Amino acid sequence: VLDGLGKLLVQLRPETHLHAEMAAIITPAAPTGFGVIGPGAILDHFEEGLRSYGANPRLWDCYKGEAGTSQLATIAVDSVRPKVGTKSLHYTNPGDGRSYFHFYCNNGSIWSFTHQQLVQGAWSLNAWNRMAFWVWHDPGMTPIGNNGHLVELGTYTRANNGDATTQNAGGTHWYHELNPRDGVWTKVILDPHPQHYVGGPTTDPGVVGITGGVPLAATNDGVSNYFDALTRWYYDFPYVPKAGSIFVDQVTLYLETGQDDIAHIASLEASWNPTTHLLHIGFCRNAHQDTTADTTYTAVYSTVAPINALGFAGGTIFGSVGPDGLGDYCNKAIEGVVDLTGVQTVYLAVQKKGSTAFRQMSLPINAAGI
Amino acid sequence: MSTPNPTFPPLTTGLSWVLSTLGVGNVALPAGEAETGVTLGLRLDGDTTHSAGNYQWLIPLSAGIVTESAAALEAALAKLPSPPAPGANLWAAINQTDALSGSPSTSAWTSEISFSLPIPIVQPLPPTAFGSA
Repeated sequence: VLDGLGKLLVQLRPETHLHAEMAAIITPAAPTGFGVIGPGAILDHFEEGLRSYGANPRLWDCYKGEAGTSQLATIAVDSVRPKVGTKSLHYTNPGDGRSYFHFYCNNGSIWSFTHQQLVQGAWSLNAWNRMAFWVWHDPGMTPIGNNGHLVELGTYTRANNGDATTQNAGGTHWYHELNPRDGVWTKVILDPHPQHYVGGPTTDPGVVGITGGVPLAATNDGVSNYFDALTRWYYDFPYVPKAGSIFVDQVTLYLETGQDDIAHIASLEASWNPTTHLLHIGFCRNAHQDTTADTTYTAVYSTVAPINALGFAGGTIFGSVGPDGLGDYCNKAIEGVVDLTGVQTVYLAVQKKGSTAFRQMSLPINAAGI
Repeated sequence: MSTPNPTFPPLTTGLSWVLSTLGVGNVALPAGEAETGVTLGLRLDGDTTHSAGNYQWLIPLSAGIVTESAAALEAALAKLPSPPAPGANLWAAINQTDALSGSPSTSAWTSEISFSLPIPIVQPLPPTAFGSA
């Protein structure tokens, strides 16, 4: 019997086979990011002043690290021009270079995700698909014509297990193009449809998803959406230096649940000027599909209800814009004079010709919030 | 963006989480170890017979699931003994179970979060006595 047992033990070798069968299981770490999928959160309302992050005294800061950027710019949180509450972020460029400031979520050694710096609310995975904020450009910081863009809003996405000493391990660096009006508060809605990514071709990368790997997805982790993965982001006038102040208020992250054609109408921004009554809505069109001669976009408004509730035909047309005949990266604007004096919130939508889908937003005029 | 009850926000959409791909102490998992499911633990606020890590209701979820809608959670709770009433204030945590060659191992519970179950809205009857005067 003992001899037979010895032969059996010999047969159980080689040891490599034995190890493969008996590798010990390791107790997994607990899941992370457990939370309620909420209606939204506030990244910053600036009522607490200029916040710090670890060894970094300024979570929002001037960027002076590139040639051509203003070296004399200043940044503060003050009460000079609040939009919501009593304070806003106040960046001033005296004119020695281009305007450039950023959400500087670095504590001296690591970069946090944007969602780790919320001033109100709590993050949970795949809970948000938009980031909105108010921005003011001083008079004279005029938009660029000929379908150009004054602002590049640069973002970085990082995989949830990516190296935290980097801004974008497992993700990439994206660009959103904006062309807001000056001398008025503009509501910007950032969506997961950037206009470019570093290393990519000069064509539209499309709507960034969760899976598929960059550039189809925000990261290579397969679970993070664009706003889960967002780390540092910045606001830059890369082409035309403009002296003056930029104010930012009420930066929020939220879930847009209504139908919203971000594939064709991306990087949305809108404003209403209480002096001139100019109602403006701007966006970046899809580079792949909207260069044909029959492309027209139409905008409607309602002071009664969201366009999603009314349907596009339930809004009042205030303008349209036809084909531009240009190539990639074209910003469009639709404008009309509409007296919204006394209106709390105006609801806007843009629709591409021939499409049943549209892009919609609310624009508080006298109502608080965003 | 007001928060009527900041401690127990209504669960309007659902819950979400990120599955762990590391072991305790952030060590790498051996080849072949894979997540086989998570368990949601829930207890009533104010229930002194239960506590963090000791839950009245346990809801197992299949491998790969990273969200649980409010409707799915309510349906799962309704199948359990003495389910919480609509509007109940709850505390919840989640743990993860992996398996390797048939051997399971379960993580610690996450930190607890709190929320309230939604109260179903009832469609009102039409107004009455509608007429011209």
